[in-house]
Amino acid sequence: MRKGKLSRSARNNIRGWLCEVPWLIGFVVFTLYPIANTMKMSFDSVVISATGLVTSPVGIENYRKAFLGDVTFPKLLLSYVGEIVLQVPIVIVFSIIVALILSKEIKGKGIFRTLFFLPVIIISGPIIQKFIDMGMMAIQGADSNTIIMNVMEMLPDTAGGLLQTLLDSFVMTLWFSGVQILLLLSAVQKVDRPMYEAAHIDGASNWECFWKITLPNLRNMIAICIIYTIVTISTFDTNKVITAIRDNMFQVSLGLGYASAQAWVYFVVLLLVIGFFMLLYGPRKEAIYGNTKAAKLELKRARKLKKAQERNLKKLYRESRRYRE
Amino acid sequence: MKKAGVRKSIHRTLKVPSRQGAVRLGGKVFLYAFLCVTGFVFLYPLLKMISMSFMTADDLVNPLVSWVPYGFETANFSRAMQVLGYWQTLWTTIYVSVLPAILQTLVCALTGYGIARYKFKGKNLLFGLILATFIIPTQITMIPQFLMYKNLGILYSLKAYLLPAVFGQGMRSAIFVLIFVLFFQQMPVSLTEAAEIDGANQIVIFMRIAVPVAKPGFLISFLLSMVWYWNETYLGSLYFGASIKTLPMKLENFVEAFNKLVSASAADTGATANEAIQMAGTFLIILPLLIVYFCLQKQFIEGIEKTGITGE
Repeated sequence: MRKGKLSRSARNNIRGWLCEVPWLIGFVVFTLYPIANTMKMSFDSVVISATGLVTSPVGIENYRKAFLGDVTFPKLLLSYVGEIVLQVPIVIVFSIIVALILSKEIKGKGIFRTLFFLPVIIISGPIIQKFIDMGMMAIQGADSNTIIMNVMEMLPDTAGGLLQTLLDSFVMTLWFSGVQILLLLSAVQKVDRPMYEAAHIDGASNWECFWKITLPNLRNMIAICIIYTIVTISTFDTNKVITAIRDNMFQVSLGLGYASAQAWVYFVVLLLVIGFFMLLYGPRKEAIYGNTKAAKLELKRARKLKKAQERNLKKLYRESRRYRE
Repeated sequence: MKKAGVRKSIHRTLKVPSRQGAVRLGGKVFLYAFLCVTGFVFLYPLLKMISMSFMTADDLVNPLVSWVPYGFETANFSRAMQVLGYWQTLWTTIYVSVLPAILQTLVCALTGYGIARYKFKGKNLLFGLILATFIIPTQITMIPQFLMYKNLGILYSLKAYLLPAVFGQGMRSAIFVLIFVLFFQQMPVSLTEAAEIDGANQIVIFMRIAVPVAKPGFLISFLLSMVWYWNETYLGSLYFGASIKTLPMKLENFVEAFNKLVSASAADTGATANEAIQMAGTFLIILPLLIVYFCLQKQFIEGIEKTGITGE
């Protein structure tokens, strides 16, 4: 309007990018550059000395040390992967169950929602550590339960240890599900009611409805929740891998280079874990319509139609502009 | 009115044949039982903490006492307060969490506004990038950041939190950008267009129309951001070292601090940091968060739910 020279879309281009400037600067300076720098340092030996940083290239030595020289690091990584593979399904299944129950007409719904979200507010490393140390996060009575004990003895050492940590911090695992419950609850409430009614009229039971309607409708949200769960558990303070990385930063014999290599290994493992779960239960565009061939074809046709319509509209718009000019 | 009633009754007959009534009731009882049990499991650590924090040293070892102690020992709290340096530390914790939260909220609001409101080239790519940063663990950026802050001379001060927050790289900022995008997208386009025609410039539109529309978004972002900064100890202990200690950080070496305090004063010899005092300390640290949560729980929950409804 005021600047008659620039078109509306060009102005929006400028304004849009202007809004993103702080974030972009921050992204380059505080995320992109550090990631690259960590990569570079992981191939160096970097030691903090009185005069400053002493850097000397060592090739893949740091990575070799992480896997072959370090006794604890591969073990920590392995137990981290084992724990997360067990914890994520627990969190997700629990969240789905609670979300489904809370979506029903239940008295005191608000109270329960408040209660299940509460851990999100107070969860922090030292406090959880205190609770775990005092045995408050364990399933009560699990230690004296002979069945569990017998099963534990039959399992090999690593698996038994894994189960033990899981039992010791079971409540903590549930505590990670606050946000997911609310997200899934809103997704459940968004599912079309008439769909259920139609299914009921056709004689579907509630059980069938859950598997054929609810779950496919929730699929994308569940995928989001899986990623959220993995990331929050992986970056939580009590995670032994990340505390090991931080502690190694200040060990003169190992130095920052070694910690960087560990950080990169950890990042790759995290990505692999996310990739694994996404392969297992990733988001699907066609989730709602089922995965049949006919449905896919239908969707393709709809998309083509939409594109053609858009093209026509654009043409019309262009012509009308030419006409105006 | 009558029509609606008829329709309802048809519904009922279709959906619930009467012989299933008993099953439904049983199901409902089961649901309530499930909720109550899981609710108890959720609260168990907290309830146990509250109960233990009032116990005397005798109650702790007495096998007859499991939940309700014989006497309410409030001395635990005064001890824990002394060890934590409570009021001083509380004040530190508040500004360590509130200041970065304010900055982060404002910058994420601007970033989210740009994405929600303007159509520009590369927008979807940028939005994808912003969301993708969520999965980048801090471990991979913290070492160069640590060195950077050291060179800038802002290590061991609050600026180490503030600087990344100003540039939208604070804790979990991707979530906040997402929240703002969703909230600003709800703003009707006709509203801004009308304002534009009336001659309002972009800044006025942002301040006078967009911000009021997204007020709940601001609130939830600020609260979540504050809570997450409050509870952060991993980065805090790296960037602040010993110079700034928040409440959760002090809990980490509560026992050592207690012993130091005891050995310093001759009158207390023989006292140990038993579980009761540790739990009293934990309770004191959680208490401010609990108060905030119970005053504003509606905003917390509605904010997250709204994100879920409009999100995906």
